Formats: sequence, structure tokens, C-alpha cells
Amino acid sequence: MRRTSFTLSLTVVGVLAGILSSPSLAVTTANEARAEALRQAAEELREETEKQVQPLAEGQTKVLKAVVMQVKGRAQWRTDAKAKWKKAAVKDVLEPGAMIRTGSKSYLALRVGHNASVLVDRSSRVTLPEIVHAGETLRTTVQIKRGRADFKVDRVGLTNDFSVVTPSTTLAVRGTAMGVDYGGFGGTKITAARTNALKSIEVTFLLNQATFSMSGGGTSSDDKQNPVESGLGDTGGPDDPGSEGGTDPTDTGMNPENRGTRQVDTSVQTMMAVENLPIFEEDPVIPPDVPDFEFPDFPGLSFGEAAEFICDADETFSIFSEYDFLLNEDFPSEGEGFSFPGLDQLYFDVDTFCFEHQGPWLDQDLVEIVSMVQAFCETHFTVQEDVNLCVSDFAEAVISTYEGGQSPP
Amino acid sequence: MAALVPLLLLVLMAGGCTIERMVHDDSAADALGALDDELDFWDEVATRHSVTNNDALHGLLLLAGVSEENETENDDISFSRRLRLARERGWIAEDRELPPNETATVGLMAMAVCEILEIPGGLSARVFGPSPRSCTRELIHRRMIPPRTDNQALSGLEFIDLVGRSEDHLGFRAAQQ
Repeated sequence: MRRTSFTLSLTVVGVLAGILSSPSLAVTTANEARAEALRQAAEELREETEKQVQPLAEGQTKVLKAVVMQVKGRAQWRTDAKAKWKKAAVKDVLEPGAMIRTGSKSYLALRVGHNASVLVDRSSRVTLPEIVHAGETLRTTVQIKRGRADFKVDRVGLTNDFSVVTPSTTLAVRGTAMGVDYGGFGGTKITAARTNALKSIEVTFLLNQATFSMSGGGTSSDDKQNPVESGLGDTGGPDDPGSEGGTDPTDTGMNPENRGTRQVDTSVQTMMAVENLPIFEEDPVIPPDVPDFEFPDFPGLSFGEAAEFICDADETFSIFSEYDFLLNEDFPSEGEGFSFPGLDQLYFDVDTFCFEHQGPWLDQDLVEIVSMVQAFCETHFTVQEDVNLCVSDFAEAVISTYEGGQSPP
Repeated sequence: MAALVPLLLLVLMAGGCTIERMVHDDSAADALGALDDELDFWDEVATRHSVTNNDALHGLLLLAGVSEENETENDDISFSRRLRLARERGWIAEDRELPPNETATVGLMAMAVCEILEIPGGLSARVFGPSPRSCTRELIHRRMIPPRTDNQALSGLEFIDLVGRSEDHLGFRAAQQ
């Protein structure tokens, strides 16, 4: 197979770097030297990525694009409202203004610009009006006409200005992961993002590209146009016969073509062994979703008004008292003050946010508060289901206080 | 005038308190009933202020995966075929007539969703069998629909939302098995 002049998107590679260097995804194979080499390679890739995503000169803008990473079922896109719909396929490139739609039991995953991944879920209509790199800012707007989409916005050294627009509201997603659902019943809802699924898709897409570029006539040992790109393969090292890499035990590693492919496979196999990622299957297994947390439209309140309610001095303590009660019901613990460990600090943080808030209450203020609660929950729980329940308890405390009137203890 | 009230009530009771349901000129599934037109079908349904029986059955059969099983046959299945499939699955009583372009009831859609998701229901449903009212209450209890009566209708967007939530439920349930 001729090696095509395929260039890894280093921002996508940067995703891998971020994932591999995350403590929660630490490689734990028996061969720690190989694992350490992978981490070093990932770090080099991350540095290379950051070189790519440098701020532009003031006033300078660059229009970015989105690439399709994965498609399942029926999904189509078109360049604008007047164009014909096209069946979506992996590696399709979408420009700003593109419209996407998915059918039932279908989804489409995109890498958008330099810093975000978007998972457009079943029965959805989504538009990408803006994907721009302007000076020091990466500005992206995603419009959800109906359905659900999950967003993972990465920090790549520039300012993220990522907005999600639904028919009823506009939300800002800053360096975090969040799902947004707009439906006929509940209006706009903020939900948990399926980060496991998004990470799985990102890594699968990236590694499929890496394998494609490595297993050509020119191998990593001969064609080191980008030594960092080859670093991932080179650090794999020769396989031991009978190892999980599944290589030919008679191959002494003298054949450069085999060595390049085998080294990449080894690296991939190492990661597969740890992460159990079915990288070479057509339909990678998506980890099962856990019940979402939801922050629905409050009856008669916008998200901004809900944030204002939470920050009302008389209500904040009541809400947190109720939240403490619910958390202790779901996760029994002991402590002083608010009895659930760490809740005092979260209360202080939310209270500080409320105190320092100026100007009108906007919908993204609720997103900020929910993000703080989510971060609190993620420090306490490692299982996603518990994290979502923890955030749901906060939503329930707010709703309960709003609807019933909760008097402080 | 007050004396006429009892008389009016008597007339109503004698005639039966039937509610005439709205009838549309057509359904999205008339022209977009083929599997390849699925995305156009959902786009069209989303614009409708209420869902017809024909559209409801088509969407629910898509959810159930029944249409896919018959993909090799005539893709553009007619309303009569949808009706037959719905009766076979117990969504509609055998003797109940269902005009295709009449507004679908929440009860009909709830019956179908309960069957597709294998929701057993409460005591009444388990003893006497599912009914539109019991299925509607069950979906409300599970927060899949807001409080509605079984005779009310759904808008196109609401119907798509219900189908989407049902799919989520199916996916989650499949992961548990």
C-alpha cells in the first residue's frame, strides 16, 4: 500500500496526548518502561500540538472546520439550507454553516476546530454556524434545533468561547464537558456529557489515522518527516515473542517495513490491553450510558432566573441544607457543619460566585454553578453514575426549595 | 337560562360525551414512509402541531425496529399495513377503527411505548392487562412525558422527544442485560 500524504491532525493527536497523560488512564502493563515511553511520546505530541495552536495576531481570524470522526445509523449533513443532504461518512470535512441531522438509533461524532468534540445524538438537528480562531480566542457556536448533543471542550492554551444555542436559550461551555438537550417536552436541558463515549471515539479515530499513516511503503524508521509523529511508534520497542502484540516470533526486527507497522501495533495493542478499546473493529463498543443528570427548564423560570434564585441569600443556605440531606441519603457519611465532606467548601465557592456576580443573570450563570457542583462531585466520586447522582441531588434540592419552600434548619 | 342547564346535561349524556378529534389533510408518512426517507420524515413531523395516527404508527414502528425487519419487502408500507402490525403487537384493540389522518392520542402512543420498552406497569395493568390510561400514567411516573391525559395529543416535537427518550431507555436497558 502506498503511503499517502496523510497528515495527522495534531490537535486530534493532542487529544490523545491529553488522554494518555491523564492519571485516570494510566498505562498499567507489566512493561513499565514501555508505558513510560508512551507517556513521553504523548507529552512530546502535546507539546507539538501546542505549537500548532498559537494565538493569531490581533484582528486576524482564521475560519476552522469540523471533521466527522464516527457515524452510526442514518446521519446526513449539508453545507447550507439550500444544498442537498449528503450521507455522512468518516473524515467528511464540514465548514461553518453546515447542518447535520440524525435519525433514530443513530449518532454522528465530530472534531470541531482545534478544541472540541461534539456527539450529535439520535433524532437531532444541529447546525455549526461559526468555527473561528480569532486572535487568542477559539470561538465556536453550535445550534441545536432539536435533539441532543454532547460537548467536550478541551483547553489548548487559548481562550475558549464555545456557545450552544437552542430555540429557548444560549449557553456558554468553558473548558468542560456538558450535554444539552432540546425537546418538545422539557425545552432546554443541561445534562451530563458522555465523556467515556467521546473519548473512545476520539482515540479510535486518531489511532485509525495513525495506523493508516504508518503501515505504508514508507515506514516510521525510514520516513521521519515528523520525528514526533514517529515517536509513538519508535518507543514501542520490539515485541517479545508470544507477547500480546501478537507479532511473528521469527522476526528479528531487521525488516524496517515490518518494524514500523509492528511498533505501532505494539503501542496500540498496549493501549488496547489497558483500555480495552476495540480499535480495529468497525463499530467500537461504546461504554453503556449511565443515567444522566438533568437541569431542566424550571417551571416559569429561565436558566438565568434559576441562577438568580440559587444565589438569593435567603435561598442558598436552604438549598444546600436540602442538598446535604439528599447527599447523605444517597451516600451516607459523617462530618461537621454541612455533614457531607467538602460541602462547606462548595457552599463557600457558590456563595462567593453569587456575591461577586454583577450585571444581569444570564443562562450561563447556571452553567457556571452546575460546573462547580460537577467538579465537587467528581472529586468525591470516581464512578460516573455516582457523579451524575450527586449532581442530580443538587438539581433536586434547588427544585424542591423553589417549589416547596424550604425553611432553614 | 338556569333551567336549561339540566336539559342540556341530559342531552349531552344521552348523546354521549364524545370529543371529535382533529383531522389533518394528510400525514408526513404518506409521502415519506420509506426507510430511506426517515430523516425527511422526522423533519416534517417536527413542523406539525399535532401528530396523526399514521405518523405516530410509522414513528413507533421505526422505534420498535419493525420496519427494519421488513426492509427487504415493500419499504413504503401503507397505513393499513402499519395498522395491522400495531394490532399484532397489541397497541390497538382489534375492533377499534383508526382514521389515518386523525390526531393520535397520548394513550395510543403510550400503549406502544410500554410494549416496546416492556414496561410491566402497576397492579391494574398486571391484573387486567395494559390500557391506554395505565400506560399513560406509567410513562408520567417514569418522567418520560409530562402529566397528560390519555386522550390528549402530542405535537410533532413532543412525539420526537418521546421517541428519543424511549430510545435512551432501550439503550440503557440493553446495557443492563
